[in-house]
Amino acid sequence: MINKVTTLTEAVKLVREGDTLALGGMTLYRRPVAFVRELIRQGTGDLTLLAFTASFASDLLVGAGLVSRVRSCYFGMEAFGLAPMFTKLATAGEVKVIEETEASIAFGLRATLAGVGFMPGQGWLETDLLKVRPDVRLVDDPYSDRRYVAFPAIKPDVAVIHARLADPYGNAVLGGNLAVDWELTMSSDRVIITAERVVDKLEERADIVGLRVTAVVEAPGGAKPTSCYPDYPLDSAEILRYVETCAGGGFAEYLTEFTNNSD
Amino acid sequence: MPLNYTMPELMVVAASREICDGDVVFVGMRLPLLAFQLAKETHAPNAVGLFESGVLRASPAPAPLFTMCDLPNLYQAIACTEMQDVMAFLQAGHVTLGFIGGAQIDRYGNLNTSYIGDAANPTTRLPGSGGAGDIAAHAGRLLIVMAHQRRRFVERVDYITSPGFGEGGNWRERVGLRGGGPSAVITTLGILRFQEESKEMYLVSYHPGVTVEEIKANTGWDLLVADDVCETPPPTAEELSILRRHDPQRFWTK
Repeated sequence: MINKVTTLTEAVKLVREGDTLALGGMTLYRRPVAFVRELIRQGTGDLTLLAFTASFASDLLVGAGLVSRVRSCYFGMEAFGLAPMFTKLATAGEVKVIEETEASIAFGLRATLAGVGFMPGQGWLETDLLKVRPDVRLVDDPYSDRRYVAFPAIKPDVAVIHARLADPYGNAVLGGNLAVDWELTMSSDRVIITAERVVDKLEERADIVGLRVTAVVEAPGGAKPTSCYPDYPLDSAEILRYVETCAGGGFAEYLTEFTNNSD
Repeated sequence: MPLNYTMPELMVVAASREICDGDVVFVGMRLPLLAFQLAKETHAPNAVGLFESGVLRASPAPAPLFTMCDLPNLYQAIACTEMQDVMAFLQAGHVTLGFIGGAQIDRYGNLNTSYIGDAANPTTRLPGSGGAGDIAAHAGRLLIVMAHQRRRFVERVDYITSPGFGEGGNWRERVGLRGGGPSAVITTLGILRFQEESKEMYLVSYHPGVTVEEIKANTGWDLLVADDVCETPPPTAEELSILRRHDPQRFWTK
């Protein structure tokens, strides 16, 4: 097995302009925030952001102007309200949104994992999703008279997953709230693991297998202010401070402070 | 002596009473987190909660929750599966009750959480479906928790994120939606249900201090009212005490 340990600076260079970038974790949990900080510093833009449920880290990327398209089923701050920069820029049409639901993201990734172009599902029927996603077609069930939605395969270019523990080969322990992280590592061209700790040998079984991993970066506290079970909880005061700062027109100042932060 | 409680506390209690013992509940986020905790500790000890993070739990979380991914929600969870697995429960028809919220609702319980105004040129872009559209399609019963305002209770929603009863009647059967559709709407003013045949929403109870007229005035269509409309039963002392243990800072229930 190959030692894949590198620095955050080098790992971020694996993301190229125009890539579909998937962020692991969900909403305000185990998001690769340290990676996002370095990505904003390097300024790699025109990204399609794939986030199963997008929140704080995604909002920073959108506000920093690096995201052209958002592919997500939810973009908000859960208990803490709307995601300020996404709401502003998506309402103004400055960021294009590729609408999804939880099931369509699950099915789209599953299609890639099955090596097929789509996965049929029962969701979306009788909603307005098919109007805003004219690219999505219906298919007839060859075994019955039913019709399904043919969810197109989703294939990210790069996935970044924050883990509790990783070994130098990219095997990683996530510790729960798995969301779609396994599917992201299996479907993306390049996979970056940032981890609270990189250890020589994992004592626990891995949630992510290193075969698919391109780079491993040790980033202690790398999910903060989002949570990382069981190491640290969500810093809800910081999330509130972000929302309130943006409400007062202070996103630019927040971003400067965020990118200057050495964590 | 009447108990002191807040309107969110009344809503959480009403929502928790909709959870039956043995329900498999797609809990989701915000107030239902608290309603599930309360139901588990009162009348529904055998309910199981599912979260799109993949977490399945059958015991109340040991400490207050702000989001579904908070650490206490993982502590002693039955399993930490993947989102795919939770979707499998839902789509195979094993979720008996799902919670969702909404920015707009119509008389047949169709919900919008995506766009205010025209989707192509919206007044406000909202967070989107999350799992709501999937839950509305597949859950056995759908429980809706939302603010009751005229701009939210509208004749026609701007966008259907989550189908309710469509155009009413046997619409869900006709279009092939397997889940049972909305069973109740718990609002800041009262509790509403859906007529057996027409599937039109009607008012069953008004919260203490609220009048039927006030609720009608805050609804964007001519709202039906049950013949036996009554006051929403207030929380009991036991319910309030459990609820406050799960929300000591009154984050949810101020």
